[in-house]
Amino acid sequence: MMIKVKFLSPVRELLKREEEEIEIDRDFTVMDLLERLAVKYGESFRQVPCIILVNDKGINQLEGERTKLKEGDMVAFLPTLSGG
Amino acid sequence: MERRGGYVGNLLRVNLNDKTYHLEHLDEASLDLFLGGRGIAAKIYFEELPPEVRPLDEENKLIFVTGPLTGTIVPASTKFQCATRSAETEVYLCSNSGGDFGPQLKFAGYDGLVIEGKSSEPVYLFISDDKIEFKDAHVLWGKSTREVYKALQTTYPEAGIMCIGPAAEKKVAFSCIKVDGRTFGRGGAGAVMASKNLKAIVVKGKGKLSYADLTELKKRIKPREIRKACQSLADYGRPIYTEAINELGCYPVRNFQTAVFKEVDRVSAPFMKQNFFIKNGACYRCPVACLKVCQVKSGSMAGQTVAPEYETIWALGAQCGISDFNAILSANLLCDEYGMDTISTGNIIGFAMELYERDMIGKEDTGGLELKFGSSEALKGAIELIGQRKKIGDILAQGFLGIAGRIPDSKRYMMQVKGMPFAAYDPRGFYGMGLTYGTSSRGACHNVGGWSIRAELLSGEYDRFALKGKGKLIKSIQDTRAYIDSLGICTVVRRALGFTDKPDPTILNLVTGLDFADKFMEIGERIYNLERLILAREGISRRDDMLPERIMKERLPDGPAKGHVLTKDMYDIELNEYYEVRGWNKDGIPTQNKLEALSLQDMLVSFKEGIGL
Repeated sequence: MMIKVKFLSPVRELLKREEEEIEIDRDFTVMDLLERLAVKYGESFRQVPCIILVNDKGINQLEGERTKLKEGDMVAFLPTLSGG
Repeated sequence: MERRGGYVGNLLRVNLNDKTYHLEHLDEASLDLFLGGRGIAAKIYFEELPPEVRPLDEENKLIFVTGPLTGTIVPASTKFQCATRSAETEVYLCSNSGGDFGPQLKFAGYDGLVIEGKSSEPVYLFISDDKIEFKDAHVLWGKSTREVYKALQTTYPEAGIMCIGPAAEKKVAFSCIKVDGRTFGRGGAGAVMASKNLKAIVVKGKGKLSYADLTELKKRIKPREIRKACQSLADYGRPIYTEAINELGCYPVRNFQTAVFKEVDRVSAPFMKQNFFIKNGACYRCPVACLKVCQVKSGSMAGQTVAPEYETIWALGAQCGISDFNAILSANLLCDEYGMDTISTGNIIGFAMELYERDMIGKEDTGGLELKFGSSEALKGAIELIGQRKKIGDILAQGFLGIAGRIPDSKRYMMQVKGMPFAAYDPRGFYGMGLTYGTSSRGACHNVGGWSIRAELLSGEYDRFALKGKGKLIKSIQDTRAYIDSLGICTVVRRALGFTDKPDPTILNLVTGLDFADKFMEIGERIYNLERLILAREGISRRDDMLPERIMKERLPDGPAKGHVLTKDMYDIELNEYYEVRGWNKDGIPTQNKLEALSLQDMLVSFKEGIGL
């Protein structure tokens, strides 16, 4: 199964990538994705505060980092938003 | 308990009619109830500005009030508030600004400054501790804000300075007051200042503020941690929101006809930083330094610098279909020179571009200008027309309330509430933002009305396309914002200092020596109710809380919010819940029970007398 991952600033500046496709297994979660990206890009990736969306929905409104991913899902890393 | 720090205790009242001034003491009971800043300014407004006073009447007042934290060692203690009758919405206006002026006013010995009357000749005011001077401003009249600053900063180095530009002098309804590079932006306070023949105010103080427990306060304040907590803003400033809001599908484009800007890469924060950024800028005692100073690369303004805000980049960019960042910076500078609010200016020009493309106005109205979306020349030309009140600019300069009377059929394309133009978020992408715009104390404002996007996206409690619960959410954010606006700190650092909807009073307790445990949210609610009482007295009710036709009837055509609309029926569900949790009646008027519970019974009596009940 393939998912698409999109990086917005500031994560994009750290990874120097805009997006990538990742092959996943069954029961692959957001937590698994974070681990895989940390292995690929280094632990500093985890230090950047960001908002994670799965198909345009904040993971807090799903099952957090336990949210399961499936074929065709789009995961986006956005900057933290603190207000107007 | 005794008040031992934070406040100075004095209010300076200046009368421009006879060039007199006097000191007043701020009473303890008012400070207990309304805290400072926005709260005290609203109280003075309620007591002194009856509903029959029009914005540009001599009887209107400019009420500037700092908060107990303004000018203290607390990080980003830069803010102060202005209340006046708005030239743009023609009702109550509250506005906040950073800069050095607020802190300097406190150092000079004043928590607040009330400007009354009208000078017979152009003047500026110079305040240096207890010395108050009315200075001839003939030579400054007609000058741009940049020229005024240059002149006054040379004469008064290290002073706090606020001034108006030529747009205010021409009574542009959304003209602003510039404050040391920051702004009382929204609502047309600039036009009010100009109507008093007051070009600028300069303040300089040598006093020291007192603290209840300075030693412990110093231990609690950790600027590095605050900066770390706001790292994205420290690195990119508020323009970091551009890509995110676009990604979420609520970034308004071409007068809210869509909510995804395809050219976002050319107006994003990384693009800005890579191509235009030259240095960081910071307000008074701010460790975050969210101002990203950029330099114009080409054109007539090449070499000049400005720190564009997220909202400005949107208003002068995507709202007008423009992705030329150099043109956006130039337009930002031009608005600043004229002294016009960038949000209202860009919103109204985007609206005019839509009218032009629909053949509702033509070249005969624009003086030959091709007022088309995406045209940088059109943007620049339109700003000039508004700033000089020429051709169509003379109508646009009146703001949406004035335009409605001159181009009646255009109302359906106006993205506004109570005459205040929308900011950079489409409520069809976040339904809570509909209530934010609809019920804000100053018309469609994303700040005072309660910026709900974070909560709607992250709390796990509110789906962004749900209706239920939004009334409760928006009330809570509005009340939180109202007490923060009364403290005198910038909202950028609020979370890091513990000023949230579950407030930690430690910092303010250490400054003042008082105990604010559990009081903040009630104070915020009290201020919001007082503001609604003022608006009700000025004729505002449920019908004025409605959203524009486009939001209620047109579905978003693309992006993550594709197909979404916030119909009248849907919005009524939100609004009814909001009024209920607020304790207001179905017409949006605070009830007697609610006002009594908030110790506003005296105001209620005065309110009833004011409207003849």
